[in-house]
Amino acid sequence: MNSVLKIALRNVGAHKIKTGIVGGLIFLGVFLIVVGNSFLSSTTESLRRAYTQSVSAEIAVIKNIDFDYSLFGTWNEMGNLHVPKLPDYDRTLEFLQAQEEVREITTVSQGFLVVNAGENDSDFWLNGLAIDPKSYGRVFNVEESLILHEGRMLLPDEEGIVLSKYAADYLRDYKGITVHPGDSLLLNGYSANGFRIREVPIRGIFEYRYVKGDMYPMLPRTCLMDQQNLNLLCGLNPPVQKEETSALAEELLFAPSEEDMFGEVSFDAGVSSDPVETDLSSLLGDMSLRHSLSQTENSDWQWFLVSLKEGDKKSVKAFRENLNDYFAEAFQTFTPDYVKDAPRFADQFLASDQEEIAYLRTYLTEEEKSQLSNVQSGAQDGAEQVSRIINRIMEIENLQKGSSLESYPFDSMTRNLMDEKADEATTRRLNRLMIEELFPYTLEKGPDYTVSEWWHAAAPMSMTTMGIQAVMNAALLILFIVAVIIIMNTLIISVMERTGEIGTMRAMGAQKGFVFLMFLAETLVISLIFGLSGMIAGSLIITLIGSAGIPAAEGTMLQMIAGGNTLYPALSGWAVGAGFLFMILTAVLSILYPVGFALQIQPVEAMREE
Amino acid sequence: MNVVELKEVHKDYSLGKVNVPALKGISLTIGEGDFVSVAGPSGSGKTTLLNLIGCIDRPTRGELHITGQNLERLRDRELTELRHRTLGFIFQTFNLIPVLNVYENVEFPLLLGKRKQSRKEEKEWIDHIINEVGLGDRKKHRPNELSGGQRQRVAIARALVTRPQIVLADEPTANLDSATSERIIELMKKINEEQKTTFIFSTHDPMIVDMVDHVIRLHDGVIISGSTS
Ligand SMILES: Nc1ncnc2c1ncn2[C@@H]1O[C@H](COP(=O)(O)OP(=O)(O)OP(=O)(O)O)[C@@H](O)[C@H]1O
Ligand SMILES: [Mg+2]
Repeated sequence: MNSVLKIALRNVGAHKIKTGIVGGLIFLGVFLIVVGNSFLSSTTESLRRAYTQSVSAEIAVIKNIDFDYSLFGTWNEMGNLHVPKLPDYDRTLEFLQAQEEVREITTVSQGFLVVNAGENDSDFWLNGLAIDPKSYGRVFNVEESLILHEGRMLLPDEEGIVLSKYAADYLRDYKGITVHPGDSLLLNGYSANGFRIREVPIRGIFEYRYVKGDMYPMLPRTCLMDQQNLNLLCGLNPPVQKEETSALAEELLFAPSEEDMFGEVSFDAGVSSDPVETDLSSLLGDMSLRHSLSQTENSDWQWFLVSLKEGDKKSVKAFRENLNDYFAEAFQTFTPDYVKDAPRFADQFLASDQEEIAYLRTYLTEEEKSQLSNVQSGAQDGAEQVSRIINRIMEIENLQKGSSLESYPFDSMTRNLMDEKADEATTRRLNRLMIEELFPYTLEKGPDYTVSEWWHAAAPMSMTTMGIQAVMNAALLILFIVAVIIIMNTLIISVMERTGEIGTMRAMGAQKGFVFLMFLAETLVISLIFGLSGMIAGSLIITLIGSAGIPAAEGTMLQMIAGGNTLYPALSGWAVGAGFLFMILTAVLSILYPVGFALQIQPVEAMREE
Repeated sequence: MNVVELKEVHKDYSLGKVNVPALKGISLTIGEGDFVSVAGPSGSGKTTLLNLIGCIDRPTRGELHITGQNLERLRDRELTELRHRTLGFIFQTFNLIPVLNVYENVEFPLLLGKRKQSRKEEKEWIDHIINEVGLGDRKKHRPNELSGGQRQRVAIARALVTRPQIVLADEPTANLDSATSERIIELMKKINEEQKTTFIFSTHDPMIVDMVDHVIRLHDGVIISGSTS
């Protein structure tokens, strides 16, 4: 064993070119991994700190939805989808407040708005963030995290908007509109209910202190406002009752006059003649609600933003996981009544007619039975399959009484049945089937809440950083593959050069294992020496840069991904670990083939030595 | 007792599609403590024969017994063990390990197996052999700092360090001047007499042929004389 190591070490020194190539590549790889990943995880960390302090808090809780979401809108289909309102506001809030990890909770909603800048002018979009000023101030230390250029923050129970400095500057520079606190801004909103317009008083002009990023337009356009105005403009509250349009004539008087700073308001600007009719009525409907702020339920919020006492990554992750588990467990209480009642039904039915189960089962083919049991055991996602099976049984039962059941998920189908679209006996029978065969699946569908960390709420920015990280890791992967190939080649040449030496050793009685260990030791020694040097060099560089800081110029990529004006890179344990893994993997992967080659060398090769 | 026994041994080399018969039915026996030379013109099969006896190559056909063991059934691991335990090699081109010094080169075969003596005994034995081949003052030298004759003597010391029963040497003097050659052969003869080690070497050198107990003469892959001692 000692002799193997001794020979390996001597060979490292003796074959300088080989050592140089192998060592150089490993040094470079480890160095780049340590520096690159440290740099990027510092940007993520810096971004995380900035966003949790100013925008997103540590944890976001929203209703379970199947599209991508953030506080900057649905960033894959901008403006088309809203996060739905929180399904069980009071109980969830109470529950969250009871958690000892929780520091403060606030609620927000998000919607896109357009500043009405007069006729024939292009739209200027804003990202409206409705806040509850009281709790918002507790979650985000507003004095610290916001710069108020003019005016003040929104007060509790007050309507109004705090404009971003970017928006104010933009309106001044490109639309010729100068706005100050005390003025009103005419805002448009679009929603499924139509087009809305409202006049909202400006309370202040602000800027985020730590969160920057002119590259992604929705951040500088984010404005803070009261909930009622946003809900009404973006149709975030339940549809307005038609009866209330009676007050419309009166409300029209509140429409801005020509003296208003934005000039004439044109309701049909950019809207074709046909929709105007309907849009106008809903608009007017809105206006009628203008002063009845209590119209919006207190619970009509989209997001809980939760700040934690311990804001470090690990605690946040643990809390998120616990919360997800809790919601998964508590799902029953958040599910519709007919599912909630299912166990009770099951009891009743089980007690009364056992033979009915057997009867229903006779309709199932063997394949369907196995499909159902797969779905129950969770081995297979089966909503579609199950609904197909139910459909088939219904056909047999001749039940398709006018309801179109094609491709219905089973739960809405059962709901239809409960609504007496089918006769009672059949409903019972199907419900039984559902309870017996499907209920376990329904329960496993998961929580009705999505609990996510800061980066989901801040998705566009965090995703950019993570995207850069992914690109860099892809580049490192390519470097890894190239390094393995080059090192492998170098080692094969080295093995071929030493054919005589290996043959001699074999002729003298060295087993194959000896040859294997000799080459492995040689490569590992090179990897360790150069890999550790790379690690030390990378760590030193990061530490040096970290103490000086990298200034990020206004409006640059770096500023955006760094979440501020100066980035202080810090050595990341993960980066060091990845560097170590690179080192070992490269060594082991690139040695395999050459060593296989060396093991094929026969002792007789010793005779060919020149 | 015969330490080497060959029965109708053939060795064919294939060069592409052409079969080159290098040994054509060799039968011979070599007794313990023999000091034998294999002689013959170039291409007659001397190296091939030594490789087979040295278990570093396998015959195409025929039976080969080394110290009574039939080699045919041995796997690579067992053959390697046999080489380590029973055989010593002296290569024409010396084949020293370049990164090891004289002492370490001689020590090397001992490190491949289990230690059979104490560390101290082992060191004394290595020193003794190195002194025996006259390199006592060169222990720390690397091979590239030695002359051809000195390297050959290191190779001899290395071949003897495991106390093998059989030492094989393929043209051990081909790269040496005649005075050095003679000293080397005398050294081997001395060891042969002292330790009862069997020596088998191939040579062109008429001087060596004169110094050995008996000569196996090869011609074109066939033994023409000296198949038994
Ligand atoms: N690896 C090989 N492949 C093909 N043919 C070979 C090989 N080694 C030896 N031969 C052939 O086998 C025959 C015997 O060769 P061998 O090397 O045993 O002769 P030799 O007696 O040692 O000759 P020399 O005195 O020149 O060393 C020769 O015809 C040679 O060409
Ligand atoms: Mg030869």
